[in-house]
Amino acid sequence: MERARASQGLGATPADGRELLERFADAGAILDLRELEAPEPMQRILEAAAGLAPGGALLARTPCFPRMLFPQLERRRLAWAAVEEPDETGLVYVRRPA
Amino acid sequence: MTRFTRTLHFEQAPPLAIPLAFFLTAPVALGCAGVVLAASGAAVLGTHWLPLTIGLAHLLTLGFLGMVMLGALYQLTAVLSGNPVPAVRLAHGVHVLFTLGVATLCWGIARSEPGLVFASISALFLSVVGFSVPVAVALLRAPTQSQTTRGMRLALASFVVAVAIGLWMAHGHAGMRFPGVRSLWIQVHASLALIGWVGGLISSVSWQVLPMFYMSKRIDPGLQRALRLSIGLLITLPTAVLLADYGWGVARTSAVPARIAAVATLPALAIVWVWHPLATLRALRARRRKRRDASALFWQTGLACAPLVAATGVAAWCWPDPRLMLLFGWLALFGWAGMIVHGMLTRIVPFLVWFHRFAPVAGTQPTPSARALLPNAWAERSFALHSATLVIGCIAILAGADLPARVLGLALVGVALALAYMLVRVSVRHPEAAPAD
Repeated sequence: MERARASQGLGATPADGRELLERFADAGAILDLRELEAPEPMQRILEAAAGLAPGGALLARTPCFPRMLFPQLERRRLAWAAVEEPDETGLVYVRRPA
Repeated sequence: MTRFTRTLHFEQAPPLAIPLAFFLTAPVALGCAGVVLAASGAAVLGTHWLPLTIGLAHLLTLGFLGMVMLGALYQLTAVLSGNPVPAVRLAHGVHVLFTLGVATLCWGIARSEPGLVFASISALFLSVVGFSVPVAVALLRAPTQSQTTRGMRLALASFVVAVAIGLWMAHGHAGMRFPGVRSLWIQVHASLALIGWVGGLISSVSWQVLPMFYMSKRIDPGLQRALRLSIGLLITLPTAVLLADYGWGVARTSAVPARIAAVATLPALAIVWVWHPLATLRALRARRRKRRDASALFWQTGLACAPLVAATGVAAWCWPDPRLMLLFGWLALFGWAGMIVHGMLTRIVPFLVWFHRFAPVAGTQPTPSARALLPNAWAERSFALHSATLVIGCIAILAGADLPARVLGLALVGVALALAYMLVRVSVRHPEAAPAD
């Protein structure tokens, strides 16, 4: 089954979680937010993204594909990519442009 | 971006005012139903054929449940299908027309005033067209063709057919001829509305929102497919029977068409009121984060009512005791669907207020969590009131006495006031430096 994926400002959208992790290995540790109820994962990501220095990046696992997060990232002019994993959780990469 | 990677842009999401307008109107309808019951007493609970009882039932089905479901669909279509509803500002007109339509329909039927019923037919027709066409377009063009999106499409189709049949029948209350055998038409109208529309929407939305809001386990895809097939059967076969009755009067001379319509309802009935609730209760019991949560209690109680609804419905079909039919309606509308809709409101309204008003400033200033916008104690109070009212309703129907019926009316007003208080308190929350909605 085809999985949801999307990106903004980072070139081609990664095909899956493995490609996303390989291409964006600069983010360091992954925030695991899969045990949080909506909209807590979005809140945590937005708070963490606010603390990113120019060129800084973060990675997070979310309970589902975080469609509603993207407009908020775009508002903040952050670059991002997200893919839906086979278990229907989400994997998100966010970078503050340098 | 490819078709599958298209995202929802903030400007395309429905403004918060749209779902809120529908949600805030729902407790008004509930309160009106309570006032009517408190004023009329046991006179409303004699049989479901009484005009006042029909009016009251539609205050609950269209005024309360329908109002919330229409408002929720504007938002859920965008969120769950990934495609915003086109011309979404039309929803303001839909809200006004739908509210006027429900008010005039209920008043007109209850007071047997054909002029009002005629006015309601026009208002409801326009509002349902204004609602269903853009929502159908969004669902058909959705980039994510998930089981939820497909289920929502079938629920919407059931709604449109149920309303079409209902408006056709409403002409019978407006001084014109009833279109066919009344019991058959009401049976098909009610099963499409209750099982196809309410059940289809609750089930398909639950597959996404329960894991999202309550961390429940995911539901078996087999159940999702079975629900789609059974609702497809529910829409096509009984509707074909009605058309045959309208064209050739087949149900006037034989009981077979009514039996065909009833049998076609059974698979969807079993799935919506037995299989889905049991599977969902199991998924909720296995949720990963168990904490005191009145919103989940609403869901669990509503789902637990569903098999009782099925049993009472079958009993009412077998034994011609009018109390059984009323009990079936009460359990279905206020027990099963009412509990779930009430529970959804306690979660979706704080979520939307947080998303529209607090998410834009998250990280730039301290923001409360969505849970903090609606304290669990408020939801617990509403749950206690709703549960007590459900029990009082069962007693009032079975006893058929005046005092319990009037107490039930007052209890309904209490539920409506508690719900309205909760919704208003949450919807006026803003961050300190608020961006525009």
